[in-house]
Amino acid sequence: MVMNGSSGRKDAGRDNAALDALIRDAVRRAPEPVPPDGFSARVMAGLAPRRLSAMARLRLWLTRPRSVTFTPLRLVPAMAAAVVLLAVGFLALERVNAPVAMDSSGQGTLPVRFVLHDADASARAVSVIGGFNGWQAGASTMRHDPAAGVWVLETRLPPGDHEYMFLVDGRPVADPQARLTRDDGFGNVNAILIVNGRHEHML
Amino acid sequence: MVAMNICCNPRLVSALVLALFLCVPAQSAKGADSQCAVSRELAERVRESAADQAEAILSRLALACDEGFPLAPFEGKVAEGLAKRVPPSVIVTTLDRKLDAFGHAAAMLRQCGLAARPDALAVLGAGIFDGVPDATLNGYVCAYADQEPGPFLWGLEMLCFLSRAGFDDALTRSVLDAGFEAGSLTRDWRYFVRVVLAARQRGVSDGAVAEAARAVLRDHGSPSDVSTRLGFTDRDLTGRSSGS
Repeated sequence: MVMNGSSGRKDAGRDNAALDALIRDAVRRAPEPVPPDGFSARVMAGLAPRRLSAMARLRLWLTRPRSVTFTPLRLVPAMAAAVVLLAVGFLALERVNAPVAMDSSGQGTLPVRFVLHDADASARAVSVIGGFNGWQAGASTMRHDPAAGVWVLETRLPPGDHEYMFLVDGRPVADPQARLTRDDGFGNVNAILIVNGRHEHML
Repeated sequence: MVAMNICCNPRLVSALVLALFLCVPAQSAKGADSQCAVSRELAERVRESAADQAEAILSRLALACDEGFPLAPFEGKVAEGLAKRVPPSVIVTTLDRKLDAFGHAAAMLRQCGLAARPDALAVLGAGIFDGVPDATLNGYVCAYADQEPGPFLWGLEMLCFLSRAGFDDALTRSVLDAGFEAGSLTRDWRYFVRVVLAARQRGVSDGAVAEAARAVLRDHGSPSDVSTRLGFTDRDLTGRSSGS
């Protein structure tokens, strides 16, 4: 009984294999169905697009090579614009870093008058040197007023305290009229001029 | 016209743009550093005028820079020395004294728990250099270290001017105490010494000036109010700096 059962299963297997071969042959020989016009496009349109994450899109944008077409003549204005923009940027930065200075109109400064008596007109050239002119000998030259017997300089200074000396024929001379002085560390005495922002107090 | 077709990698372009933007702040930082560098014009003047001492002078300026001291007082002192035709060796000695004064000022500020800020260093260093007594300065810095930076600095300037004018320390402290207690010490009080000198010319004692100043500060007044209270005005609208 066992032998007969086993032989029956083998026969059934052979039949199935033959049937499979018949079906494959029939499918192979069957005419190829032609899809209707626009079928593929309709299927693709029906599919929902896959949304990439922002990082994935950025990575894709950064890593995908791109083609740029240009003519050298058209590149010139773009380069010129870039150079101008950079120059403006650097100038703006320089402006930010630059120390604050008075404008040419003297706004923010106050009138000051330096006077040195010289009744016998013994000096040939007198100027005022001080922190306000960088201690430059030629920056603030005084004019002689023979009638009054004085050397005078009228100028404008910003509010604050300013040290100065007179330079008489190249020789430093302390202001004999100064009420407030300071040792200059070189053995001379600088006068201190205090200019008040409200134009009220001078010393 | 010839058209060119270039294939460029956006990664490379992005890197170039990034480098360009990084270059701008770097240039800005370079500009800030250059504020500490000795001005080219002064360096040239030093080399022309100081000859064999030029490098010694410039090295002192570089040292001031390295120590983080404000450079303007040092540069100003060199320019002043050159204009007055001071022997270069004396300029070097003076710069050394100034460096010591500023170093001492920095130590004094730190000792009283304050940062060695350039503006405080400039005023305190100048005070030490000018010979304002150490005890006077140290007493002020430690006593008022917790005050706001502005009033602290204005009070310090006021103290230095008054000390140079020989105004009594105790009187100065009493005026400062009144100002800080009332919170009325404004920028104008830096030059309170003007009132003191004008009062002296009129025969008013320093004690009377200090008393008037304390009262004015309690009322949140200005130095001009002190002279008004003492019966005179130190106004000079002629703009004259000195006798004519």
